[in-house]
Amino acid sequence: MKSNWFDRWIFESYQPTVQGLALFRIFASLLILFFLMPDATYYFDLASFPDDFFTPPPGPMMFFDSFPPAWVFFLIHGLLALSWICILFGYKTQIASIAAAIFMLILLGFIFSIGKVNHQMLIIILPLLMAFSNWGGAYSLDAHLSGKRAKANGWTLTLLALFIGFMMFTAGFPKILGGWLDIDTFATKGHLLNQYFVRGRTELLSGYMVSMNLPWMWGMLDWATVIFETGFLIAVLRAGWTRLFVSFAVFFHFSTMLTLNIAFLVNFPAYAVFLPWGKIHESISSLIDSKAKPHTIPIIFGGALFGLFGIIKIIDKMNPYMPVKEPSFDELVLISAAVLVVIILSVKKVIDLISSVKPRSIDTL
Amino acid sequence: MCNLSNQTVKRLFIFVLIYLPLQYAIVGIVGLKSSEPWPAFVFPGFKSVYVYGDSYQLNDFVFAVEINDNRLMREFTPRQFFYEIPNSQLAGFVRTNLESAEDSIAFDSSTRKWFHERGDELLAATARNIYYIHRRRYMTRLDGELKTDSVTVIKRLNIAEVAD
Repeated sequence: MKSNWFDRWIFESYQPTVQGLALFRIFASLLILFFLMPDATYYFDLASFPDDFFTPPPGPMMFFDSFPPAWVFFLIHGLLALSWICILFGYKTQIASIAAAIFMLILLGFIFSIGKVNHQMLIIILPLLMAFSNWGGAYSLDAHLSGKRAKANGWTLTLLALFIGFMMFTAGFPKILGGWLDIDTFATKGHLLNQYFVRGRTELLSGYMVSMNLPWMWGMLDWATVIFETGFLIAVLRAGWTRLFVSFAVFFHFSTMLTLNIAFLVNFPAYAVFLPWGKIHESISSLIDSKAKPHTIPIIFGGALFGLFGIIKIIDKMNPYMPVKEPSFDELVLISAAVLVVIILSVKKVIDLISSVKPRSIDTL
Repeated sequence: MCNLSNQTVKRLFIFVLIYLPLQYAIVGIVGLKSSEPWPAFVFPGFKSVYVYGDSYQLNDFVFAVEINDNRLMREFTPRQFFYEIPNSQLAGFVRTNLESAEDSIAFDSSTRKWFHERGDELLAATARNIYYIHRRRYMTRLDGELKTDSVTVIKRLNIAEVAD
């Protein structure tokens, strides 16, 4: 039977390989374990706050009437870390992925009950969806123990793209209603001034941007932000467009980090799914003779990332260059690295496009 | 490993395609009545506009702590007063917990005690009354520089009243 457009969109937009997804699994686990676990030192503060400060957002956290004791926070934190360690090694990967999402949901629920919700749902959605992708189907204890060949489920990437696209739309749509497209107002500049003067976010390029008085540029930034955020929902329809908008997102977060000092590293593991992991796997395989020892690839890849992330974390903790908390050294390095990766991939894509066009033009001649 | 059938996956997509806009509508309605629900699949809107031509409007929040001995005031920003709360949550915390409060009765005795202890700690002396102040600052660009035009006090609330 011929499949329709809806089926093709769901099942054929992305064709990941199980090895590629396995490399992403190792990357995401290490990134989250090193940099994106909630700050455990905050748990004592939360537990010691008066009950009046417990103001949960409408939702399941309203079933509680105060912050739990610190040991509850540490218990959930420990279980969350354990889940991600299991994902890293690919042990009971599906259960561990779902557990990681649930533990993060509970932990963030309590943290956000201080009266402010931060928008970090992607770090919950990511393991929940990837649980069904077979990202534990290769280079994992699961694969080793079962001995079965697994197939990667590309639809999980389509669904993740849909979530990201819709959530981006929810950021862009209120801006249209709020007057961001009015040519007489400069909303981006307003938020910059608010962050700079009121919240004390005065690092990197923020001071330079505050002094910049170019109305056309501020107006253009307002429009670009709205077009990027609302356009993401349309981009979800094709894998190529989604990858393009994910690249825009990386630049968007990089620029907000430099100017508003807001680094949204928490979204990056979800963006990283859309990297060409299959090709990354092929490149690593061509460099390493993995036929004799099939576990060489994950050990080298995971070990290199572990070492790299470890060095960044140590420098971040020693804090020699960045005495401020926002953005932190690790956020600055990792988001800058993401920009570099996007630039390299874009250049490669352009070269590929040119080389595919060249023979045709010669033929025409 | 539990693999979903293609039919189940299609049903899941249809559910999500209906659910996402529906939950967004609910987030909007609940957000208007109280505050943003959680968990919800939304990103921050940042819809407010504070800049009109060359005029800028900023909201300042400060905590003025009265020193018991000489009744002088020292002001602290939310970042200084609630130093343990992450900067990303501070504005929302202040909005939810202090901007909505009508008077000091809004806080129970343990919270007022907490405010006093925090005041003592920051002053390294005994604190008396502690005020939460919301000011609106209007700024204009003059000769290429941002200058404060005027300041209006929007709210001034004694959050840890001491009886005379």
